Amino acid sequence: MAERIIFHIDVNSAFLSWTAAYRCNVLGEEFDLRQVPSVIAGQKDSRRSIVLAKSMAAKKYGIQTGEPLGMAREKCPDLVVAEPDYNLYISASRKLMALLRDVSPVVEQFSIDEAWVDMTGTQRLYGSPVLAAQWLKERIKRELGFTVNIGISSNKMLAKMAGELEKPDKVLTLFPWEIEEKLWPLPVRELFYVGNATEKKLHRMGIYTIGELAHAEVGDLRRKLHKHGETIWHLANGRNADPLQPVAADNKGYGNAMTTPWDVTDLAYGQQVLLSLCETVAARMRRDGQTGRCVTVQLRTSQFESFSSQRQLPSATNGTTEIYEAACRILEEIWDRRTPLRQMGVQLSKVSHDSYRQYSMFDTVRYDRLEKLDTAVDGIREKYGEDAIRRASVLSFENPRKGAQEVAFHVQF
Amino acid sequence: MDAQNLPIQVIVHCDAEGELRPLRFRYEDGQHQIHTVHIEQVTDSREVEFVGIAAILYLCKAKADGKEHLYELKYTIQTHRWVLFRKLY
Repeated sequence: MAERIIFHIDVNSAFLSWTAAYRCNVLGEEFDLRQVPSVIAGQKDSRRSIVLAKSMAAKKYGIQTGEPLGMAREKCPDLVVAEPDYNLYISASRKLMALLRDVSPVVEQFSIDEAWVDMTGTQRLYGSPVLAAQWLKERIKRELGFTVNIGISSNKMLAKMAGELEKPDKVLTLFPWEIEEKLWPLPVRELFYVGNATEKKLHRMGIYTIGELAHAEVGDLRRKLHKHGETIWHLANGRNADPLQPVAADNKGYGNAMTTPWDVTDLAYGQQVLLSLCETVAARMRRDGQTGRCVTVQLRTSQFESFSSQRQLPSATNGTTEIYEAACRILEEIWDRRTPLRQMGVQLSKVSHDSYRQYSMFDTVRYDRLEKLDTAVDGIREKYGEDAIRRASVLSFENPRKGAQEVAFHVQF
Repeated sequence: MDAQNLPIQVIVHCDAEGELRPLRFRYEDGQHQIHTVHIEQVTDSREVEFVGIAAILYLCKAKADGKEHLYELKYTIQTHRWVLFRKLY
């Protein structure tokens, strides 16, 4: 069989590119966000606003994705800030994926702005890989109005690493015979699957570049990093045989977190936040027909300290009330009710498709009735919108300071 | 120059093949005057799909006060809205 050819397509600063392309090509504005230091961030709420995407010019000021907007403004006072528009991003992403599926039948979408395309055996259709990638890149720019990076290699990971080498608007290759020159001199941090924790461990072993990792003893790595050590060792040597998965795999867990408008200092408010999180998580699981067994609650204090704890449920569930009760118990266990909390999150893992329930002799709640209630609420929300029906307890929660007004505008159930 | 993007009212001819041809359009200018433009000829049309938003652009010739003008109209397929995208001359 011919050698595999995998393209990795990655939109250059996706959210920013899409907003800029919308303003230039759809609204017909002259001013291009991509040419000046600019970021995408919510502006309405400065406390919670973080940089979602940055232009290349903003990157030169050292602005990083994920940092608070205030910090970015300090680095660059003339920073242009644009609001995110998620509907636009979804439309742009869908169109991009549709275009890629038009080019090759095997496309694996990795995130909203990244995908792998299997181009094996398309040489007679599109020409040699580098030329084909150039054509594809230009086609995306011409038809959709934004630039992408295309990484080419013979497996997924190398293709992804290739695309990261240089930006923006580039076609880059990283075939196995090129890794010694292009990949090995890079710091080990740049390798896919190497995060903060792994990086530290590798540094302690005296491994600083990907090349050093590739030449390390696999036995040592396995002892220090277990299975993961072997995986990254193979990656550093350019070996990865993962096939493309054109059909998205099931979620491994469902989670939701929010930074509250002001710090949580009393239990009642904390529980309200949890309830609202549990509602979204449970509704998403019910939509996908999944149930979960393990509830995790994550907390972050106003000092940016994080801690979390988890608890197993007697039976897998996707009922709002059950998840909420478990989450409340965890909250009471791990929180002293004094430390101000800035962010709270709820996660459900150990997901399965099982639809049976293990009844217990000691059940005090009639779960079947709760299930019917959840189904009814989901139905109403689908038909009339998210705000059509709410729990009375969250009415004053969105903004306690103007709680009275809030209540006045919503029908109580 | 930035595009104008003025919302307009339009009378369009739609043929059996689904091809659209704008005949007349009406817009309000900055002084709140209403102008009606009779299109004499659609000189060009093209479909665009920037950032996934499908639209059709029409280059339209029209005469007003003895002078010829060229307008670019845009029809956004999903929202069914027409705008006067820009007036070229």
